[in-house]
Amino acid sequence: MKVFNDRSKKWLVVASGLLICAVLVFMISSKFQKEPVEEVALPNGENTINDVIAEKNNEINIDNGNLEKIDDDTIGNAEKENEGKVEASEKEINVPPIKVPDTGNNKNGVDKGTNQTIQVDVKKPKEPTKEELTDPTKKPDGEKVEEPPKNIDHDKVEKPEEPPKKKDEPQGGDKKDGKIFVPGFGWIDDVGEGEGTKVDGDGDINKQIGDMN
Amino acid sequence: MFFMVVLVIFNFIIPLSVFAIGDGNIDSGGGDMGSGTSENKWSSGYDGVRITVVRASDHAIVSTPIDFTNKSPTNVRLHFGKTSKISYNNGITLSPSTTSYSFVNPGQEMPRIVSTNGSNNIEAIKKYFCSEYTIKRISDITGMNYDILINGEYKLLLEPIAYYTFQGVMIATTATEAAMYDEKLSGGLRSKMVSLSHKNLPLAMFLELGDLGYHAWSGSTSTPASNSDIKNYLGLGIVRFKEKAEEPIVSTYDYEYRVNTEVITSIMVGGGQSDPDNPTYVSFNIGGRTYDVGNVYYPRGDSQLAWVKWTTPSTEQNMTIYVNVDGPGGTAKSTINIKIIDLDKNPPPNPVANDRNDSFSYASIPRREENTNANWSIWSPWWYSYWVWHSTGEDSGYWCDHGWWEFDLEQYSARLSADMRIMNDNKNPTGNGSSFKSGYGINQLVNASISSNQSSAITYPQNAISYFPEFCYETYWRVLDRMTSGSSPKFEFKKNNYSTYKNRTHFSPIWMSDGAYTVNTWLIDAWTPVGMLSMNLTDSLTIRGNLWQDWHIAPLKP
Repeated sequence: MKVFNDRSKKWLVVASGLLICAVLVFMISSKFQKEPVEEVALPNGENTINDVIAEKNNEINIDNGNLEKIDDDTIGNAEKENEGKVEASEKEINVPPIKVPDTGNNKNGVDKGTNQTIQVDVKKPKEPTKEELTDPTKKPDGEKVEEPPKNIDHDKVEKPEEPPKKKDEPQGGDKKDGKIFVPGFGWIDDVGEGEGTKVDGDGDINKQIGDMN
Repeated sequence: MFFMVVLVIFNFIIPLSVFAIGDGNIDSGGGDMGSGTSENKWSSGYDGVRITVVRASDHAIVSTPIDFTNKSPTNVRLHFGKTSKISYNNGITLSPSTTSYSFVNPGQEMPRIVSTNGSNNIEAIKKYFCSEYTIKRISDITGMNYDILINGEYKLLLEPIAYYTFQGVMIATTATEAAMYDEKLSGGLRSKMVSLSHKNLPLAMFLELGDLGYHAWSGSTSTPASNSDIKNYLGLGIVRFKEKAEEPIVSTYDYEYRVNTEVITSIMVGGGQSDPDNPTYVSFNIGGRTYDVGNVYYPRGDSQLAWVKWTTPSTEQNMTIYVNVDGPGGTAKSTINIKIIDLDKNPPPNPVANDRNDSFSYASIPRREENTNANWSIWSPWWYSYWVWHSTGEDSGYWCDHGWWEFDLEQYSARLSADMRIMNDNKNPTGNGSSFKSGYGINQLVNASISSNQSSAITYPQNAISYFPEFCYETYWRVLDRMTSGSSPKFEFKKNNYSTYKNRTHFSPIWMSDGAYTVNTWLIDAWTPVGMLSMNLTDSLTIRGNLWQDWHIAPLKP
């Protein structure tokens, strides 16, 4: 029995082709479909600002290595609502201290939190190496020693009254080219001899005009 | 009342030694008046007085200062010009003069000014500078009419001067200049001539009652003073005519702060030497919370200001701060009394159209405390290595550091500047440039700016309060809103609840007569280690007419 004639076969092939095309179109178009969007409330400006403040406080507290309770008064009312979230997030944050590069000109102390300083930390110079400490030809600070260093017993070292002055360093009162050397200001114009004016006249030295009581 | 003191006690306590080098050169045993060498010495009697005429009402300097002396110090090679203490306190820096030193020898000799032997000469000094003879000489030299000089509108500011050799240079300084020069030298003057530069010269004159903006001195009169105390309290006397001294400021608290304000509280620490090996720590207990302050260093015999930055509570109250000092140092002040006030409780009442004030008269703008410059210093230690060789054998040994801490005195400052502008409210229909009709509102804009070379030691300007002519610059005021923060904040009026549009406005009263309408704004709460910076600002608009003139009654159109 001839189940399919040529005409039927032809339609079957066309229909199958259309079906495959439809499946492909669906599959391809589903790749470009957007996820459904849920409406969410945008934070208002005030909340945004307060969040920034809270973050700043976090930074400070972390920097000091001392997590402190955020002061309500400094944050504002709106932030009180978020306080629980902020404190919760504080505990989770584990950020290493932020190190500010030392530019050499930083004169600021620490002015936040409960551990403050009025100026930058001061440290002694780095310890010299063992080789530097035992080299008799030069001091550990690099100063060359021309003769073998003279031994001084540890408990007989005395602090010199004045650090030795360098050679050719001008002394106070030295004069050169119309200038005079004064401590603190260096070479300044020699102002020369001063001048006095004598004044006298009438008026009773025993008659009191003013009051200093 | 003015008081002069020449000190005695120290010389009785410590045996006096006299070195034979230099006429009358005195050394009280520790390199005090001079180390007894030709490099650092002071001869007794080499003193003088700098005299400046000052206007009593605003403390303005109205004459070039003059230096009286009995000596002839023509060999002075370093001096700082004729600059008064007031000028230095207003921010003038210490600078060597480029002209020769000039002085005046009065025909009638002055009494001894700076002490050496402890003799008290107070009465003679008062008598001399209050005498008709001396006042007439000052009148002659300054060119001020004698009758005007003594009519009560002016005062004489006196400052003791010493002429001495320091590091081989003959110099002339007032007490204030000596303190500033010592700061320039990181303590170099004090280390050589402490009894002159930091004791007998500054303590030769000081105030017993406050005047000309200077407070009375209640500190020690027998020990060397700090540079800060000398600059603020010592080395000055005041002669006045007819009027009494300005009422002294008597307060039972040390600081007055505003609520919710970041502030700085300071104390002076001294005693022993504080360095990184033996540091001094200061603890401030504020409202149950302890603030520890470190890196407080100073050389032996000196002192250092230590401060804490904190935020005041949100409610008015009196507080006591308890101070504890650990380490080699100590403080004379272990409790600090604080008053915290809320200024935002007195805004003007609701203005209404039928307000009247027939008895009103204009008041002058009061001189609220103003200070636009602050200077402080910090002792900064550094290690001076002193390498010594210790032998352990013929060809062996090691270097050992027997160094010590040296100190540099670093100078810091802060400067406050600001301007204010009032303008017609944008809802004023008839405001025209700089004029408006009374009854309408005005807006205000304050631009402030603070600069400093140590930002951690200052707070930015935080509050501004406006006062108005209709309330005689008191009674009612407005605390302004800070619109932007940071070192250059802007301030405007708060939103006015009585404004239909809730504008940032102040309504002038409708009864205000034509003429200048001047608003006074006091910018405050920029804190430094040495107190608060503040400014008095003013700006004006002109009133022409009143709000009623913009209204008329007419029959309704049919």
